[in-house]
Amino acid sequence: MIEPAKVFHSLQEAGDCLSRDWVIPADLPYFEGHFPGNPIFPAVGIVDASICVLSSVLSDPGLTAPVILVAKFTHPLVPGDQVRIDCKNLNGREWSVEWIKGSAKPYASLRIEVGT
Amino acid sequence: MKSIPIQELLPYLPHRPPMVWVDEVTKFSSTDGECLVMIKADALYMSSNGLRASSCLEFIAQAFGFVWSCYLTRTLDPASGPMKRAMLVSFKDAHFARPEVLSQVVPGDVLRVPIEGVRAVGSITAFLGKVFKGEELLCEVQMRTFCE
Repeated sequence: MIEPAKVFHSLQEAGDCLSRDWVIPADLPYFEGHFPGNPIFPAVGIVDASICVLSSVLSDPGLTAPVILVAKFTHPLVPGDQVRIDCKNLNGREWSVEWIKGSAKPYASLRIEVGT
Repeated sequence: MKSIPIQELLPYLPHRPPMVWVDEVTKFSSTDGECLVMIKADALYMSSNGLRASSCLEFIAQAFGFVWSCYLTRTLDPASGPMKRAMLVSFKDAHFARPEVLSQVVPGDVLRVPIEGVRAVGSITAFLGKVFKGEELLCEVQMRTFCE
């Protein structure tokens, strides 16, 4: 059982108002099976963490994401990776969330329609 | 078709418990297939509010992987080895049921995960995936995966 608000509690802390810096913890529950000896942060974790960040940015603990318009996963993210998660409002309820590592293009990018 | 327990297919995908979320393959072909998920209380896809919406994405991605493995090893080439790499490249138009519907998914429920319209170009495969509880649609999404 995963409670995103607990698993990603460090993402709830305020940073720059629309972004969070985060080191992907090695003890996330996904890594034991995804994959043994080659841990990769799964897309489902990126989605949950992105929603947690939006929830924090919008100060809405009950925030939901009834629609994800697009999600792209360009490079694998692994335990210990230091990332910046940037949120940008695109249009009303539609938000962009980008996972940046170093100066490279986003490792993951999502367009999420939020609800409450 | 007799369903295939996922334990028989584990050698073909890199996922291992507790990240194996699909339980059986019930249909497979070159273009379509279906898996079942038997909901368990302590599985990582659950939360205290029932099923997390995002978990449906992993159900669908894994269902495709196991359906495709069945097709490769049981129809196309029985000598096919395990996939060296399998990853979700992108998805679009993911729609989820309302939280109050997902919260009613409880241990003992059986979810049906059909995969439709599979089309592969090189190592990229696109398909439509859905998750149903009974007749109720919990999630629908277009996905692209990379497999080799």
